[in-house]
Amino acid sequence: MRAEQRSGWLLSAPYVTFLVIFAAYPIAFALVLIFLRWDLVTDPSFAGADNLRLLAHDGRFWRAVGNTFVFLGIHLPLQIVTALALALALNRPLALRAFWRAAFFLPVVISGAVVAILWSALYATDVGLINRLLVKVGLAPVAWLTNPLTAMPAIAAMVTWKNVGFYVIIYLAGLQYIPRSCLEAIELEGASPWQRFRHVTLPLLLPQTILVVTLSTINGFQLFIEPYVMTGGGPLRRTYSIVLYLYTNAFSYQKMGYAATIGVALAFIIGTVVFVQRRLIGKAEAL
Amino acid sequence: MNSRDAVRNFLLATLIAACAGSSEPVPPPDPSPLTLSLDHLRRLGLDAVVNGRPVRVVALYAEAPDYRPTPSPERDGSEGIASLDDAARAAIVYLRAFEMTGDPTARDEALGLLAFVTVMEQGDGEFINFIDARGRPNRIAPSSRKSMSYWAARGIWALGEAVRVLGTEGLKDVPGAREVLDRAIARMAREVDGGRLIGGSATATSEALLGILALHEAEPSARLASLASRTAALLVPLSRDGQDAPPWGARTDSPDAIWHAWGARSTAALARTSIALNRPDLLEAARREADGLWGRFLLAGQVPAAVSPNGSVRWFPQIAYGVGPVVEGYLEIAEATGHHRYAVYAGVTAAWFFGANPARVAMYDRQTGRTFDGIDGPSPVQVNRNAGAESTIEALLALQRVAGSPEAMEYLTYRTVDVPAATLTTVPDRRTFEGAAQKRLTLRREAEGIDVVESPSAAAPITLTYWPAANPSETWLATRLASQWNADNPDVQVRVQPLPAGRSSEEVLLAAIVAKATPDISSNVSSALLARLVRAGSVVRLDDRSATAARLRERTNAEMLASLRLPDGGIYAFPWKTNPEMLMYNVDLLASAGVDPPRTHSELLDAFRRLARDTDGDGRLDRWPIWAGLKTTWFERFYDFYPLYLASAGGRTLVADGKVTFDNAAAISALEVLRQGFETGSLPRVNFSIGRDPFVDGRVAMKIIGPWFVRELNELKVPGLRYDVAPVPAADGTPLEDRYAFADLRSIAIFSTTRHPDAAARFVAYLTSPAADQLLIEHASQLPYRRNLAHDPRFAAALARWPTLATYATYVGRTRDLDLDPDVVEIFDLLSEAYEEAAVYGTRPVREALTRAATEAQRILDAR
Repeated sequence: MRAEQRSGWLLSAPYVTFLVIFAAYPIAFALVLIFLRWDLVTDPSFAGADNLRLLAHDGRFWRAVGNTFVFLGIHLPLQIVTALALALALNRPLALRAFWRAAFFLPVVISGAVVAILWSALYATDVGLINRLLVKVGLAPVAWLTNPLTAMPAIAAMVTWKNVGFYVIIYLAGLQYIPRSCLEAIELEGASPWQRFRHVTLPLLLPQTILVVTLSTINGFQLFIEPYVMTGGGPLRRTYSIVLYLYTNAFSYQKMGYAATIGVALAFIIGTVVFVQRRLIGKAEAL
Repeated sequence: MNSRDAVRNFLLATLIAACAGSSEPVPPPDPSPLTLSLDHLRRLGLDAVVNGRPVRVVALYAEAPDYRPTPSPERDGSEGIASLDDAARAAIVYLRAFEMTGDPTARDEALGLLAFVTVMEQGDGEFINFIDARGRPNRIAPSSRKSMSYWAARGIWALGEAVRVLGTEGLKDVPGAREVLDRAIARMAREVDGGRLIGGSATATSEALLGILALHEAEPSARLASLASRTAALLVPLSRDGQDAPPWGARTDSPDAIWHAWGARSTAALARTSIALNRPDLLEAARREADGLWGRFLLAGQVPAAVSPNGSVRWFPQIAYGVGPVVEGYLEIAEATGHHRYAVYAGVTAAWFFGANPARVAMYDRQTGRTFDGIDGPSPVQVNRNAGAESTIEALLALQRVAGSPEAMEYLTYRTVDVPAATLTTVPDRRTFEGAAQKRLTLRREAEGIDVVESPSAAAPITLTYWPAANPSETWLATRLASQWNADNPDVQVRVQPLPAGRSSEEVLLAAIVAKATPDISSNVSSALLARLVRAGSVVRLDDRSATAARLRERTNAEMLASLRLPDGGIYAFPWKTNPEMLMYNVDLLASAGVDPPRTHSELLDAFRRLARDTDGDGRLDRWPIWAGLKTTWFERFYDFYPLYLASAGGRTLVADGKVTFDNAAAISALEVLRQGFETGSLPRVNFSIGRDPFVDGRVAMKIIGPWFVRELNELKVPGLRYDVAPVPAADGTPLEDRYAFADLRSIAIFSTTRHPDAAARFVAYLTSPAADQLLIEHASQLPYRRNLAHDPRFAAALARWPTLATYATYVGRTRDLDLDPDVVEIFDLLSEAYEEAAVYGTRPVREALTRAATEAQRILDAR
């Protein structure tokens, strides 16, 4: 082996080791677990295709899949619109602009559990700030987290608030790259601000939008800490996400084989959805 | 093997090697717990018909080598074939065996013997002792004639014990027994009030007193307490001289009488009376003989047969009837004082039964349950190898007590190193005993009494890691107990490390098991986890370890252990504390609404209606009768549905023998009452997780909660909050005897990763001792899983430390826990779903929701 090859192997060894231990091995392990019954403490036993069959007929799992799509249905548009609006606002000359950018990014770096606890306090039916404000203006308090109709939207709003700073940064970066000449040219042609946004800014931000949609989708499918802390999956399982269901099977019921099956199914769903998204947005880009 | 099997086996082997590798086998128990055989006693049992009534009796003698039951010999005046004296004490042995093991044959034997006791009473509270081979009472022999004497005293003792063990109802299985007991007590009272010892004997008086105390434990009354006190008062002045002059505090029937070891039960009786009546003066009286005369026995190295007033001693014959009462006396004093040293004295004295005697012969045979009749001199050939009723019974009475003392058990194998002393007047100042692994124990005379000095074994000290719960009160308790233990046990040091943080202790312990990082001991194991731990072989069986087996015997009974036994009959976690949930209520809120604490579901619904209020007039309710949580996390149902269900389910839980048992009327009633509460708006569809507890700030008037909350309330010091507790309401028409409280039992487990299971078992026995239990109550307002806790005088002061705790304690024996089922969490989740759908949101009818949950739960059980 040549010295160059040796040093190549040597240099890549740390990353390869990392990859094998923390990616390849867990993936292989999860794939093996699909075919096993294992409760962590006793020896595993062969389960054949039982876990896959159970998954196919498990109403609770499909309910969790449905809930996760409901969450994404609310969260994705809300995330894109909010992030874009804030990015546009922060891209304009503004007093204390650096402060505002930092302020909106701050929730991103706060622990999800802490945010969930804080928002639980805000949403509290009896003493929550939101309901106090509603009562002050003469409205009835809302059982945000215990009403089956409002629980998931409430969580989606909170998740949007927490993550928006990250996506604002992405959009702000995109906005920096929009040539001023294009905007000035269309402005000279008499275009309104809306027309400038619709026909120049938005199309030129499409790569960022694809990134935001992809990342939000992947993150959204991994919804866990918020329902875990705030609702426990209720009311009426309306906030039971796929990952929460996975966690419950793994660590409350100690059904590691079935939990791994859910995990692999989740990876498959995410891959499929992101693939479809990219194909659809890609087509839109081509148009 | 086909290719598919090969792949499967490869995958399994890989996974097992990676994740579930085998652990080292746990060392077998050493020494094994003291198992007592009743075989020989049963062999002595005879059927007889006395006064036309079939009874059981015990043959008087059994001679070696065939040990056939034999009547009284001509030498003794041919008294008969059997006596009340023996039958009564044998009944006590059987009753205590039944209490501990639940063995119905022991109960049957006891009832047969009690029937004999009953028919030997002569209608005025006096008894005859012997019967002949035809069942005719011997009215002539001086040792049998109708009187209030030894046999009457033993009759009272046996019948009193019967009420304690079987209950008032249980004694009804012996027709006429209760009336006989009442007449005998009345007759005894006449003797006592006349200032006369029963039969002129301290022994008989003490045994009658023990019967009165047993009855008082089951049926406390001022009358019985007074009689016990008056009887004890007769015994106190019998102690002669002090500790420095012969006969060293010996209690004798008269000043010039010889003290004899036979039946020397006055010490035990006085110590027990001091506990029952909270009379420290009687304990001091009990200790006079034990600290004086018996202390000399310890330093002399043996228990003599008799001691004269001038201190001269007769060493032989040594018999079980002489050694046993000394052992029992020491154990009673250990219990009354909480001093470990008396249990040590009991242990080294009881070692006589296992060969620590002048003849070096084991007097009690573990296999047959036989006890030799005595030792007539210091050589094996001078052992009387007959095994009559009295020797067998007296040995069993003493050893039953020893088997319930982990501290005494530890010293049964110890032998005196030096030759025993020849006199009591000049005994050495110290005596050394040696046990297994060359461990030595030295008893040393000090001003305060006999001091115990233990020399650690030659092996290096070992360290045990102990994980208590991480809450401040339990961490404090663990630290305090461990530091005391470490001071007393230099060869076994305990390191306390609070349970690492996690959502629940179950998840933390599971993670530790997977990582093979379990401690030696953890004290927060729930039943939800236990079945899984046992299946994985992660915990050590405890009822076959000497120390923990003894503590289980001391603390519990067969009924309390029945639901904790795994399918192999073993106890794998020590049931430490239980916290029965009750209905806590705000006294003033209920009074202002004119509501009494509800006892039934109808009354509860009525209370819902009357307690729900809009106090600020804004059109919205802001005060509620009770709060039932909305979250569906499995353990949330511990505070609403499950206790309401158990209150009406007649002792059933959720699962039995692999079958779901909750699809029933009790569950429907519990869920229905909650449904109506939510539907009418009386129960808030609100989570109060933020801010103060709604019960504390008066937003809800009632709460289903355990005794630990009393401590929290005490710390919060809420001004004006007056509260009390009542049993959780049951479905209408549920009989009182069918009502059970939910208690989340917490156990102490020894993990099989430990290398020192016996040392760990000793520490567990220490953590669950009466003294440790008192601390648990006093500092954590939590209740040890201990029989008769509410009425045990040793815990009265600790219980009184907290409001309502004494009421909680009354339910310790009437609780149901989670099922010991590996899937209990998932089953609770299914119930939570049913609760949410049927009760909280009303999206599914109650019956349908429960049936659905039951069907799914059964599917889970079937899939295993």
